[in-house]
Amino acid sequence: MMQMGQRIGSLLVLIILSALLITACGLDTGKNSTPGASSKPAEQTVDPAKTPGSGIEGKQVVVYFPTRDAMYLMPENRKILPGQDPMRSSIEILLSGPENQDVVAIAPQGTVLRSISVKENIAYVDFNHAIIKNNPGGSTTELLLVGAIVNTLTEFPDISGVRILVEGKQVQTLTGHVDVSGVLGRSEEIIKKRK
Amino acid sequence: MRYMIICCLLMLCIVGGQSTLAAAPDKSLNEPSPTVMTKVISHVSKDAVTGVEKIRVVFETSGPVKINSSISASPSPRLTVNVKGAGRGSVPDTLDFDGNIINKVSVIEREDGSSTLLVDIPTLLGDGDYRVFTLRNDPSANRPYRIVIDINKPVPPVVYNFTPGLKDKVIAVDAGHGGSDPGAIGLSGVYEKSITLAVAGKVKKLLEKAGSQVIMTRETDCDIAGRNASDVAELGGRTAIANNNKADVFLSIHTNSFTDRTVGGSAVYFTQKSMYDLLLAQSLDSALMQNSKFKDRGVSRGNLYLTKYSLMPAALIEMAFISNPSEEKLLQSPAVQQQIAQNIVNGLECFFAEAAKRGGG
Ligand SMILES: [Zn+2]
Repeated sequence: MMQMGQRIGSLLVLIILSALLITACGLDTGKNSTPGASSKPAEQTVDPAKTPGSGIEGKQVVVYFPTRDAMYLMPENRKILPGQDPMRSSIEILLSGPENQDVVAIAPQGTVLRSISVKENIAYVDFNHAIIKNNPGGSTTELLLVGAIVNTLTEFPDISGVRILVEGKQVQTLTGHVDVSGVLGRSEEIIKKRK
Repeated sequence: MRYMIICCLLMLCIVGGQSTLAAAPDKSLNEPSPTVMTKVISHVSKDAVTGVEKIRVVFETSGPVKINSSISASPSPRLTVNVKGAGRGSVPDTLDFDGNIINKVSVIEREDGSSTLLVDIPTLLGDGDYRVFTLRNDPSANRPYRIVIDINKPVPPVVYNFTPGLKDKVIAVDAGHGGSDPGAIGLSGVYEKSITLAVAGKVKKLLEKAGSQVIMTRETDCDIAGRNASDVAELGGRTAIANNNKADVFLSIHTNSFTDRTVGGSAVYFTQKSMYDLLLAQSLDSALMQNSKFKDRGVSRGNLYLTKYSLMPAALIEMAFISNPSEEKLLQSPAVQQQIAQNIVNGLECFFAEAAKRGGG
């Protein structure tokens, strides 16, 4: 009986361990990497100190906002209070707007985060109807809004994809351009490259 | 291995300090062991913005490694990644994939404790279609050292037998939004749906004059799928019209919008279903710049419903920003609308001329 219990215990540890390793693989920020050349040396590694959630005191989250020219997204590092849920806070910061003057707010007025949950490495983020009703429209706004939501959430190591819900339901699109029906993956291409 | 043990110990603390440490091999705890690969994980994802599908293959290693990579075309397309400083460890020597982006990965261990990863791919990759890099470990987030291989899904090798010229071509033209959906609204209250309908009508006239058959998704201020239809039905209705009529090309015409009202310019979006989508977008974009009142924002891959689910080469044209007051004014001018329509038709003519050179023959 004792042995059996131990074996189950070991199994449990292994299951949790493998789950963690899988989640650890998620989508890395790849901030310092550059597009490949046909023959090339190893690229720079990411500084773990900048990985979100890695600090014990003064937790930081990374939130994406569009550049003023509406061409790219740029990350903004923001501190959150101890005890605040980092994932929820990062979306709430996205909704309330940036501090940095080089980027602009993208969320439609009155957009409220209804809920956020994670299942099998996919973040399900549910907004109220304002994200559609108050959306100014245009492919550029819709692409940057969707990109900002997805890139902000995939900053978290255990999030590999995002599903956007509106009033608890799956939607095909927000304003008639972008296909938001499936699991959305991180976009590296839309992030402004540092000079 | 050491990492695994540390990880297990951490886990145990989290789980609640059960004394099941016996599960971990404690032999190597104090011995320095050579760096090896400990695990391989792969993950397919779709870029939320560009719609490009990519695979990420991650090899976890027990210590830091140095890598370099190269692409070779023969005997078959292959990406080779040399891993200096890590043996194969517990990773299988062959990993089979579905052939969508990767066929197979072979892991070969060298005598000096280094390894080579042979990534067999279905078609040759361009420089921008893959990247290989390493990531440092991050004990606080339970993340080991990693080798990351990202590969974009190649463009399907579809070939159309297009002939040059506009005569007898079937062109599906979609005036963006309509009916209950006004689209973007300008500062002075102009609706996107009105501008798109006006320009689409002018495109139709010009194309018909050139001998094309034009299929319009709408010719009045209406919803395609009815007032209370779902967003899926509304967008699906538009692509269905193009698909059912076996159009050669699908064009969706829009006006753009952004919170900063100084932002302006025209842009063309496409989804790379074949090489023709990029060609179409480029042809339209350069034609749109002729005698243009708007600056060029270029062509971009977009995760857009209409360009994705249409079966033929397709482009979504954002003529200008209705949110920008001076562009909003220009967009209402019949002369400007006529110029845009003429440029679109010229762009289509350039597309068929170039596609005829590339395709089929
Ligand atoms: Zn539109």
